[in-house]
Amino acid sequence: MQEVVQQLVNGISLGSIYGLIALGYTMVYGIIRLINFAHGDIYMIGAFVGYFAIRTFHLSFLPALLAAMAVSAVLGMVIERLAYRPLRNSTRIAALITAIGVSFLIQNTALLAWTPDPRSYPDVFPLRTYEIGGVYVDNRQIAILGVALVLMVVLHYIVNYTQIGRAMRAVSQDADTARLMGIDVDRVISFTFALGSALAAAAGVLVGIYYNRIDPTMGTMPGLKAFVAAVLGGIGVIPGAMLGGLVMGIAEVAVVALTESTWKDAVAFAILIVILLVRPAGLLGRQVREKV
Amino acid sequence: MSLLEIRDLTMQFGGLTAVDRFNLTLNEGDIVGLIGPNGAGKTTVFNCLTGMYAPTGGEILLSGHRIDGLHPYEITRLGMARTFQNIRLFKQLTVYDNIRIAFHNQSKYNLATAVFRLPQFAKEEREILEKTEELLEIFGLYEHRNEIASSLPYGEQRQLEIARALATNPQILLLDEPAAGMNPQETEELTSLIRWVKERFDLTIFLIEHDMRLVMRLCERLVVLDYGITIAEGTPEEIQNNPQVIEAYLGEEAL
Repeated sequence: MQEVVQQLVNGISLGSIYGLIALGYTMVYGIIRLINFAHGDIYMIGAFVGYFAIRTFHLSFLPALLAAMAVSAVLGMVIERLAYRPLRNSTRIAALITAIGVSFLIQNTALLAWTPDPRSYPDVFPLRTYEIGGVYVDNRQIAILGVALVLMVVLHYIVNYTQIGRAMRAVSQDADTARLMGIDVDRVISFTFALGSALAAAAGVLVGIYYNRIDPTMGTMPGLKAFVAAVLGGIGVIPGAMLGGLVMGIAEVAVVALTESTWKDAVAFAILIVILLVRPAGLLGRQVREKV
Repeated sequence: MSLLEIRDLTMQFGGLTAVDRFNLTLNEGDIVGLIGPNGAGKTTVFNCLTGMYAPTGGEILLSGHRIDGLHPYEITRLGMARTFQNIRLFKQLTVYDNIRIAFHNQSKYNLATAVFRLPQFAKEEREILEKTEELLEIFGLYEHRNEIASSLPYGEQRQLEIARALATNPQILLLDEPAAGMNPQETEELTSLIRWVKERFDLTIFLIEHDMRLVMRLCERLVVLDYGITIAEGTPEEIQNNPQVIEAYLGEEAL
């Protein structure tokens, strides 16, 4: 029993990271129907910005987190402006392939600039472990959960209760009509990229602190898994991304606990295959029959 | 100075001229109808006016400023609003949100103000809410405020669309077949509603309509389009007796 709770705690920590990344995928998809495959690399950049903020500029945890979020938000907007906006009216496959290209560009630039060698993340949190009824929780896990929770609440609030959030929902439903309501659609799309990128950056910093190790290719696998999480929850559905992330995190930890850790990446894609077969719209997505 | 001036507006799609040298002047408080057979180019005129199409020729001036070629959101902010022939609400959003979205250009608060719930945010959100509720009351939609837009009956969706257009605070309201799909009694109610709204919000109205009873009763002036060309302009009485118009509508044999 203790073991189960313990794995659940670990799974939720990992899952909230996936959830934070998945939110960016799902928001961008919701608004321009594009899977932004460069998203995982923005997460990596976020981790590195946090690293330098702490190591070089000696910032503490929160300022470093905010710096990483801000830099990545700008990066997300720049990518959208330069790579995706010119393709707004072209085929979806063109934009998708461009996204993969942007991903390679960022990753290889990072490899060039920062070498492929992993770096150990600076120690902002001296590790403290607490035992609660036989279950071990450490302060890093609490930080991950706390930050993820706060960010998700803030995001939910922005999307549902502010004018820019309403504009986002309007654009995602009908961009042309939104324009006629006085909404600058390009600005809203830009804002969506900024928001999603900032969340990914936060996840990057949290992962750096939790696993204590970052490198320029770290974004690939979590990026793919978060994409699966977004599809699992229902792509375009914001609460779905959070749910999908949690399910993925718990599933991965459970598989590692029950079998061998070599299965941990396979489980993500097994989930993707199953969900596409059984419920392609995702757990919280609306089931719509494709018009033929 | 006239409020809206359209000079030689032309819209070509490839080799097809959908609108050919269209001219019209709207003065403040006018209520003008645009009629013509299907495919005459009426909606194309609206799409050019609202910036959905960039006209291939001519000029459009709103209060003396060129607006042709501007983005739709810029034109909306300058005071032009429209409704659609086939209703285009944000179907999955609530009635409340449909209206609140249209207040977008009137809210000034930024993200930080919103996240930290500063007084300016609370104040502006309260104002938006008050104005939204006022509009909903006027259109009798208040009791439906939390419903999803697509769940409303047809007639109420039309009203919501007009209410939403008004929320952008327009000077000119373009109505694209507002009575489409309505029965005679609903059309009757719509006619008085349009008249009332025009007075209440100080509007200039330019409308496309097939329902001749509505057009004849509501409009002071009519413009008739056929194959993109203006074939007549005048009072409803003049138009009713214009042989060219009768021909366009009924074919030559009818004469």
